[in-house]
Amino acid sequence: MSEHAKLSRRDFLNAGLGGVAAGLVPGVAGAQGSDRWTGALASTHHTPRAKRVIWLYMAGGPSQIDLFDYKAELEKRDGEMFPESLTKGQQIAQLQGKELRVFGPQFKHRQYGESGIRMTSLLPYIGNNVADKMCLINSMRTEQINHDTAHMFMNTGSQVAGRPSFGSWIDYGLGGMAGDLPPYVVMVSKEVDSGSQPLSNRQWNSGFLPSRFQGIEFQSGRTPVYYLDNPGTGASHQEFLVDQIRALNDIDRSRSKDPESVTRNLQYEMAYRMQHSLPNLASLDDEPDYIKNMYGLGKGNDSFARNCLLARKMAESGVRVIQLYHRGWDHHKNLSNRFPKVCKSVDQGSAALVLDLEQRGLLEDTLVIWGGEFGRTPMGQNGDGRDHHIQAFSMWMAGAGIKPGIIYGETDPFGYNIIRDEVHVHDFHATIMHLMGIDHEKLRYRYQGRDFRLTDVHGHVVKNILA
Amino acid sequence: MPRSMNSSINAIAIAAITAGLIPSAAAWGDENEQGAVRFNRDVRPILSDKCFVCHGNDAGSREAELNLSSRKNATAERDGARFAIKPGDAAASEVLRRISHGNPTDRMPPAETGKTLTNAEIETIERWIHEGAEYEPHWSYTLPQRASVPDAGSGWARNAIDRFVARKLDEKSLVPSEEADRRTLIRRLSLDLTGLPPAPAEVEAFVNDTDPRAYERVVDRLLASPHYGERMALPWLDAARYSDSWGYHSDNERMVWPYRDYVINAFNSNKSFAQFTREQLAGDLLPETGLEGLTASTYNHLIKVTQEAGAQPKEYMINFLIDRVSSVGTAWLGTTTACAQCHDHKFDPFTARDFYSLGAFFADIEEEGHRGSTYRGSEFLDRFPIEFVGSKEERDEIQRLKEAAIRAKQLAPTFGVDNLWEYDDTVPMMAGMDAWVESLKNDVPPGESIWTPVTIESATAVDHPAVTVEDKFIIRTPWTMPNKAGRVLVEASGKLPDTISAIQLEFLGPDESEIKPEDMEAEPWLAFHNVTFVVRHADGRTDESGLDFHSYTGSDSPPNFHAYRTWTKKRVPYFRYERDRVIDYREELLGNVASLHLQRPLEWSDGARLEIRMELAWDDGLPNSEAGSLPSLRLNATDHPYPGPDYGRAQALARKPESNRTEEEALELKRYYQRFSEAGVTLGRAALDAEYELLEYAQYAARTWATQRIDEPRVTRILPRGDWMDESGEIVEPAIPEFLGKLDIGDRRATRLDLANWLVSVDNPLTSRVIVNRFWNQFFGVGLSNVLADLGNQGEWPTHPELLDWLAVEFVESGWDVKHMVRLMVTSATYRQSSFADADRREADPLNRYYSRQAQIRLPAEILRDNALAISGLLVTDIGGRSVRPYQPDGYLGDLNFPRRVWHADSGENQYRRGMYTFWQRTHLHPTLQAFDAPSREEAVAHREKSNTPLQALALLNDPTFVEAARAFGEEILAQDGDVEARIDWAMQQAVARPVRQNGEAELLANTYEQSETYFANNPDEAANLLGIGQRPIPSDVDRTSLAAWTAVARVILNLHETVTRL
Repeated sequence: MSEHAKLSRRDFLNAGLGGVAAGLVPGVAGAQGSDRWTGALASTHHTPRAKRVIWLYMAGGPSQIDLFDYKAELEKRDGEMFPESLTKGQQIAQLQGKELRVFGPQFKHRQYGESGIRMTSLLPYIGNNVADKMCLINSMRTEQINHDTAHMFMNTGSQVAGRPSFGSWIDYGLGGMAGDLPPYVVMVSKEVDSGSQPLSNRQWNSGFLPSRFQGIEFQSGRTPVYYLDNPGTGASHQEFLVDQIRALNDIDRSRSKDPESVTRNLQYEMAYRMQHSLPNLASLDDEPDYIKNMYGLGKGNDSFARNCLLARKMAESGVRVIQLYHRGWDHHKNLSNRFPKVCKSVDQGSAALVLDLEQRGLLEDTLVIWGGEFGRTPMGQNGDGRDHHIQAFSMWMAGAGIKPGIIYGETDPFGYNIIRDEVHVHDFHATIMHLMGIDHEKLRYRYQGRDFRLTDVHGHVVKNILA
Repeated sequence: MPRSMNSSINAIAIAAITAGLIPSAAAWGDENEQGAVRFNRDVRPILSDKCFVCHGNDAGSREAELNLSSRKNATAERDGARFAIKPGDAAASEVLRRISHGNPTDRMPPAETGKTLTNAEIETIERWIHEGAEYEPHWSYTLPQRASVPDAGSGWARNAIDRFVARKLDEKSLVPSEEADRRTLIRRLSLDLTGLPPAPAEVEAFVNDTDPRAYERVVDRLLASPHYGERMALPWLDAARYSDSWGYHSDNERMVWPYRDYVINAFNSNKSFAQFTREQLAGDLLPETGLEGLTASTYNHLIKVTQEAGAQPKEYMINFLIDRVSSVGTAWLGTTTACAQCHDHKFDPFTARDFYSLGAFFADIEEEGHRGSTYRGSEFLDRFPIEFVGSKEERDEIQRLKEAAIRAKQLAPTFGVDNLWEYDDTVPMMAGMDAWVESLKNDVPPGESIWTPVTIESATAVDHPAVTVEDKFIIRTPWTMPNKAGRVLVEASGKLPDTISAIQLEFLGPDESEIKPEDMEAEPWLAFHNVTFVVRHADGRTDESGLDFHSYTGSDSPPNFHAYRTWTKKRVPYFRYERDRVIDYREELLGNVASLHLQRPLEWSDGARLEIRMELAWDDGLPNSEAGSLPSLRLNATDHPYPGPDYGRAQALARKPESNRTEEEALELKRYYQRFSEAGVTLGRAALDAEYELLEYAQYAARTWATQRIDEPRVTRILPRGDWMDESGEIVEPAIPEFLGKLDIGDRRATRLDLANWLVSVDNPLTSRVIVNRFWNQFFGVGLSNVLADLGNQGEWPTHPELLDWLAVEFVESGWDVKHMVRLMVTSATYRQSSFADADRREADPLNRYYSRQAQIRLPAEILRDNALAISGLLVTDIGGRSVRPYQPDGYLGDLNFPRRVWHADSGENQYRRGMYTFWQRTHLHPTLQAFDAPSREEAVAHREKSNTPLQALALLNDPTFVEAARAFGEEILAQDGDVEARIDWAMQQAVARPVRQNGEAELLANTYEQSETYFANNPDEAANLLGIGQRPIPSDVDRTSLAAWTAVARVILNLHETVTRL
């Protein structure tokens, strides 16, 4: 390691020097002429179970009542007044001031696999193929009841803007695994539901961490990253120009002696490499038909399924954190009509991804997460819908280090409150970090004079779901 | 107390300091004293970082009742005659025993904190206890005092700054760098003071100027430039979190740009920073400042606001409080306050009570925790704290139009805005109702309809799923989502009325066999615009009409003039999205009918053909937005002048004897009269015209969210653990943090003006230091205390404490004169040093904390753009006005909704404005700004990162802004006289203020040109592609191969490290 790189690395980690250090040249400059960030941690805190995370992020707030947390009591009392003892003094969103009535599960539930996990019949691919691999958590708990702030909380552990997302923390702590790919990629599937809730960049932003740690949102098509395309000119011309720029910078450096100019040259080289590697990464042309069929490509709106397949390619290529957003889950009304369609649009792709990872031996060190920013009320809204619910909701995980085929946590007979084994968002984050080999209490970053971490002063690793 | 104080100072047990504010000379001690351990410099950072978490100010999390930030507590005798700290007796001090304990389980800090003390740190604490364990008040909480200027630096120093710097250099055995050459100096000054590169003529003039005051004259010129205010505004806009959007959820536009212009003007007119502070926090309380003060008070509304349905207003009111206190903390106080929203600050003597007491200052601002839709016509004028702040003529005109709109609405109150849809019996037009009912009865005989079916000859669709004609009367469309805005053309015939005044669309259910589940999922909308009706007579004559208005049975709304108004003009007032509600989710249309009223009736003749053309758009109806889709339908025509959407129904009601009509039926009939009769339509149209005129004029007029006061301030409580639902906390009044004193204002409630006055009073130890420290960072690349946002316990002990204080006092005593401070800094010898440093020099002062050279600073995001546009000659240097939209990748706003957003790049001059005028979308900041570390401005930021990433390289290489700039630059280069080398020399002077060098540089650039020329000669298509980027027309009289090659050279130059760096 060059003297310069060492200095930068130390500065970076040295809190007191915040500002200057932030310009930083990362870990291992030089060796292969790259400037790949290899992480703030010299080594992981313990042996990691997961090398990467793929989060199928069901944005909008999927109804756990209709998906995973079946309640006979609700079915029985459908239409009755909801017990006030449960709801009094609790946060409520659009149902503020409205009459609260029980709204029973709207779809059939059944048991799947040898584990007999009970879940909706609207996700048959997931049920039949993933039930025995998943740990279903029915006791998730968050604090934010509106989409925007709940997304922020679910991604950054804080409702305050400006905090790094979990993926940025992982990148900061561990670095990437492939030189010319972004370590943290986000893809948002294209839906055509005009009621899709907005997403904000801050959900994958690096917050106060240097901007290199932000998630990169990939676009569909052959230009996944903005400004990746040359201005209508060929690759050889662009390469020529980049070479000229680098050579001129080298000449000028004899005068300016600015070490940032060395870094800049590395970034131009990296940029040029990305122009070649990313379009290939974003292309499914080389995937055989049987794989495409497995994911259900070509059937209706296959945007999410395509992203699932891309996620597998990225996992193989060394991307560390991948988030696939599906924005179709905000069912305040027309649930009975819209819900089956949304389920259908994610079912096959989600299941195929898990199976595909498994058949390539990747599932053992890939953590797959499925779930959104909160759940939905056991009370009805607009006759055929549900409001946001934060006291209890469901997510599932599978893969690296996760106990397969179990249900964790339990809610009361109305599905309103957790009665056993709460998993707060902070616990969820602590557990992800743990699986990645990071002690969530130890990975910190000093900003504005304070040491921050993903879980603030909270969070416990949920050991009982670990294999 | 050495000063007369407006505030009395409380000594408080809990605070780190036991005294109040004392001048800091004592706190610094003798800066140069080497021997003794100093609490502030040596001990406090250790305790603060490693111990205060459990043994600090926060009583809630304190362990063992030990508060190491309080000498009284730390040195008190404890059970068993033990002492945590026994001054003078390290061996008898439990603290030392525990931090050096051999057994890890007994050692402090506990392992789970992840913190350990180094041997050196333990030794420091030991020595400190040994020397008496003296505490010092934290330096930044004591008043700055002007130390005497050292006499170091003779022969080099130009002003006091240099004397302080020289002393430290001497101490560190460093020597300053030589002065930079003049080309570097003028480029540095120009970029630092105006954000623009110097023009080559300016460079030459300065290089050849023999006046000994040549440098100062350049400084004076630049300080007087109107672009100085733009450059100085940038850091302040970050700290004030100025942006053009709301911040949460739908992140709609919030028009507050006059505030940005206020900031620019304030720096340009060198408004005192004290007044600048007062106007922003309390301009509404300073009537003498007029519109300027009101504009400044927009500062209070730069919070994040939500329109999300289901937001709990109370929660967001608390979010606003937190947002404001944190921002004042960052911008003025250099204090991180956020932790105190839940508990007392662990590191600083800042309590939860202080936090909410600061928040209480803002409890008199009129606002709503949850803001509804902005789409409701001119309601926005009253709904929001909008202040028109443009010229008097503009404001008078708005007032006139407002009054006219109100009058027109009073005559026809059922029209115009959706909250007035309800039937109103009191309007004058009701007098005509009886006659109308009579005429309705006999309009057409019972059993007949005013509508005649239209025979469909053909129907075709472009960019729309294919349509077919069924049974001559039905246009059958599949239930499929189009990919973009399409068009449908219908050709029709039939035995129609002699004149056609309206066409009816009778929406049918879909053909079930056509519906695929994935299409149902789509739930397309229908919205149409540019509807044209053409009649082609058998004799060849044609006659044509547009759409006047339409009405629709599926909606409760009045006839929709909005569509006509906005769509035919192709300009959409952005706050008037309600028009798309009229035509609805496609699923909702089924079974309903819509009447399209022609602008003028068309004559019909035997054998004529009717053509109907309509363009279909997505929900917001904007051209280029996503597509809507037409359901299957039947068409009817009528000659009736006022055919409401369900005329037959109204007629049936009219025919019913009055006594037989139910109450609902009577109401329905009246409502129909008010909306669809001639009288109703006429008055409604007038009301909408008046409203439209108002909106059209007002929408882009200068307006901002000025602060408005409510008489009865809201109650502010301390929130236990920051929980907004917990109402058990104590009520607090506005107050400054207790450890910093108390406002001397008697019994009255303190106001925002009191807060502002205190921030800039001589009793405030923080503000002056915070601000000069930020200026310093701007001109020297690194702050004197380099955690710019935090001068508290967790901040950094300044490298040059006496210099920082000298500057702070100078700032206050100059009357908070910003230009004076800037001039002091940029005319110092320290500033003029060369930034080029060899390895030895870098080794000796690696982070340049002793200023033995100038810094090399990559240009801030906005200025990178300005620089490229200025070099290329494209830059439009207008100052201020509405924010603009430079090129941005398509689909970048695709994750937004309510409404869906499309970014239309500005054309003409607005495409080439300075980067700071870019529309600042908080949730989706322009990707190039973001790549170069511009903050989203969702929260106050005192310091920008300076990262160096491949995405930056991609942006500079390929963002159309930079490609187009390179082409314009290429055109300029090509227009120069001389050979290739002469042109290259001209280009380098233009770009980096120096001639090309003969050290290989000239050769490489010439080679770039020659190879590119060959390349483009062989690849003319690529040359055309390259030159086609951007809106700028390609000059017709140039050789395209040469231009493409020079564009390539220009791209190289614009991407050079030197070009993007201020040296």
